[in-house]
Amino acid sequence: MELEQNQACTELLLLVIDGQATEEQHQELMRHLEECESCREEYLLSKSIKDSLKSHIKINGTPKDLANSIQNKISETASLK
Amino acid sequence: MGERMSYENKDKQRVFNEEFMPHIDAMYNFAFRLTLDEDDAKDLVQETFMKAYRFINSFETGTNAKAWLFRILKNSFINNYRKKSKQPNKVDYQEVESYYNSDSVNENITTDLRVETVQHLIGDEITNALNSLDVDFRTVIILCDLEGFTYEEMAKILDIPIGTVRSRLHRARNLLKEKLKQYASSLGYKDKRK
Repeated sequence: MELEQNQACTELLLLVIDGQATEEQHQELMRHLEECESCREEYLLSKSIKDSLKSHIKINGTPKDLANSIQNKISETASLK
Repeated sequence: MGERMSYENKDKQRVFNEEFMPHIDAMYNFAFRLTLDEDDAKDLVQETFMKAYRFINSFETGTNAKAWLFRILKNSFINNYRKKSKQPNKVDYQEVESYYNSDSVNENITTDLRVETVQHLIGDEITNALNSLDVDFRTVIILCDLEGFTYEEMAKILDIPIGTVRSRLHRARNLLKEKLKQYASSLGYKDKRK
């Protein structure tokens, strides 16, 4: 019983964190978080990991010549037809 | 494929430039996260754009070009790189490993990963943790957390049911937590707690 409850919480939590929950689901989770400490911690942790990924993963700059070389190949292909 | 000339050549180039090219940075980043190699990433992006041009008639203007391109890129990646490295399916192994770890964690290790710890981790540590995941797990995290695709879009990009997207994402995140926890304790973050 408790396990099922946990699983339902986890699913709800992920939906909210990923911004794909409905308004009702969002509020349901918020109500639950007020009374459940372990879910609250889980929520904050998952959220902070997601935020860290977004802000810390290095974006590798696209090589400057890549766009040009693609454009050139496309022009070649197009003019062959 | 029949010769369905939906686009004239001029239109093709316009659609290509207006709808596909703006995604080049996201595509390169995705390709790099998959291959972890700059040259391979470049080749993969180039190949993807060439395929996109060739099959442009199956793209409907105004629909989600980014998801369409990501799907082509992912398929090219599987064709080019997966076949070559005939590794056993590591996902199965990591899934087993993650279950095993999650059991043992509760019993033996008292250190939990905490929000403050995560906030102390720097880019390199998070990048390394992500890169250490098997490519299938890495992929769902990139698509969801970095690129912000919905579960539904991810299901289309990866050709798997939404339920599988969600469970894979869940497992990927648990694995990532484990890795971050290992980093944190190896770096002594544990001691920062009172």
